Amino acid sequence: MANIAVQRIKREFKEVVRSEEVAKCAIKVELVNDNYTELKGEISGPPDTPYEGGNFVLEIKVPETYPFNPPKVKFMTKIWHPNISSVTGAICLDILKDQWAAAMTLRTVLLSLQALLSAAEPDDPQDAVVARQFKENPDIFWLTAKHWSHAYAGAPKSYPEFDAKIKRLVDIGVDEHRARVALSSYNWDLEKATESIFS
Amino acid sequence: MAEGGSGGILCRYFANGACREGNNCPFSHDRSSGRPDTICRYYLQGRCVFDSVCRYEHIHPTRFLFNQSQTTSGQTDRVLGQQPSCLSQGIKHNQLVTTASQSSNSDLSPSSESLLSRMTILKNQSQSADSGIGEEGSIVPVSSEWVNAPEFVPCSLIQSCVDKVKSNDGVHHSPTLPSNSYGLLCPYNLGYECSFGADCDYLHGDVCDICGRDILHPQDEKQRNQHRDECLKELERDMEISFAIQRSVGKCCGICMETVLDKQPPKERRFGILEKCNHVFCLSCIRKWRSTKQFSSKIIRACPECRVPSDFVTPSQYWVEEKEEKKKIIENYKEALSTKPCKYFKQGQGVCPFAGACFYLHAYPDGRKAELPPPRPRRRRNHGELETFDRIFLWDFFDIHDDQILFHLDIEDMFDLFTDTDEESEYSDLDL
Repeated sequence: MANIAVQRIKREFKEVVRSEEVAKCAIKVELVNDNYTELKGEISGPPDTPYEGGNFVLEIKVPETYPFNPPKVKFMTKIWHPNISSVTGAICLDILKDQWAAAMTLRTVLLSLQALLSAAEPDDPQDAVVARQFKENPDIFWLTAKHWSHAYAGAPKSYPEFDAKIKRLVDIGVDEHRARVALSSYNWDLEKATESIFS
Repeated sequence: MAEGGSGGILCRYFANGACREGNNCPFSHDRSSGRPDTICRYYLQGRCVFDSVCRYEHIHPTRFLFNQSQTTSGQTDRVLGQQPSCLSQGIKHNQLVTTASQSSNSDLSPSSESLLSRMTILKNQSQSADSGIGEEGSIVPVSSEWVNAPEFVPCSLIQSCVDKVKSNDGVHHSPTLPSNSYGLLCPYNLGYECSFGADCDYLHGDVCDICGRDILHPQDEKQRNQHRDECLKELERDMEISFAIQRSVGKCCGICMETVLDKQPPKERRFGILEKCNHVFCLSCIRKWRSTKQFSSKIIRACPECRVPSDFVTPSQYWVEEKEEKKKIIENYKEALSTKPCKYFKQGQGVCPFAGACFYLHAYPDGRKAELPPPRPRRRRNHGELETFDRIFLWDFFDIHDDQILFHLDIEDMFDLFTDTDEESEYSDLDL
């Protein structure tokens, strides 16, 4: 890896560790391997969002051309968000693509992602299903996102009705995650979800 | 020979701030074009430890002039008390000078006596010319025509000495003076201690309170003022540089996040100044960012910190933030670029895509400058999309290749010299 990339990541790592956001437990970075090419990031769900109380783990891959090219970041924690794939965790965020700037750092990237959680951009979606729900059924979207945050990111318990629906699908032998995805996609319509699973 | 005017050797007395000859000096008084002389100053003080292996020339500046005449006319060898043996020392014949005392006492270490004889060399010359007796006591035929040899005519110093020789039958007991009405400043006391102290035949100047050298002529008001002006200018320049360094210390590049002045290797310690904002980057980082290919030009032309687009990057040794200074450094940069022939225009044989907006020189072989219109709007394919540009900016792509420009700038701004070549010196990033 190019020397400048390693040098910079080392500095940034220190910057993140010292930053006040870490003190407030808003963001966190850990090393995955010794050569600074892979890192594990963590952001907490911003307040007044369905993600509040959850901790979202991110995979950060630093390219050799860093900082002239953006790091490759994706969510490891499953999340229900219009700009994040519920399947792969891929993120649709301009600064991680064509709007990258060399002066951006791990810290600013993580803070941007946190901001993305509180301000979704449904007109430029990564996950079309989620985006449609966000626009058409904002209430259900909110509950779904909250439910996912509880299920995967350790956020406090939410709407018990959703758990009951999942349980019914699990009881008939459906994998829990698959049941959750199907139900979420069909606005928690048990019938439609079951249909989609068994069709 | 070391002819006067701008093309000759830089007068070392002028360089030290005090030349008695003024406009008549046979050496150059032009700091920008005059070559520094290569005469060993320790030799002039009579204590060069390297002796014959010294890399500087062991000649005397005054003798130097006389030797010219000697070697060209061939008649005055003895008159000047010169030993032909010095020719065999391998010194270039038109620069060769060995003082009489040195050649005769070559086995001795330089003593104050030999120094004395060198100091009063003009005296000896007039004596020997007058009596026809050389330093070694040999009788030499004196021809008066040699003084009119064409080699002497442009040289006022020699002419004036010759005039003295011709007009005065008596023996001079004071240093031979040229037409200048003031006394001579002792050249050995300029910056160094003259070993004669108060007994010196020459004048010892007053101490300049700025540079601390005994350089101010006691009577010559013009020289005093000139030296003070120069000293003040130098002081100002030094202050500016130290302020610039102070400003630059601790400045971190926003891309590599290293302190620019601490970067390794030292050639990396250059700032890339953006025209429209005041964010700190080192030259190599900002250039690399601006040549990144996978982003649209709008992104890479923008400052990585504030996204304000700048048209070009100006290299600088020091950090500049103040508006006027920045303007000055950018102007200097453009000026330096405008003297370099454009690689695309090729003196009219090629076509420069940047046409009238090019920073480089568009001149035909006869020196005529080309009048070109501003570049046409162009389209460029980027990420599969067509974008329309109002203008194309040559300097974005060219500022990588200006090491020689830097060289010019450096001299102007008292920067260090950089003659390295950037590794990214590829024209491939030029988007044509």
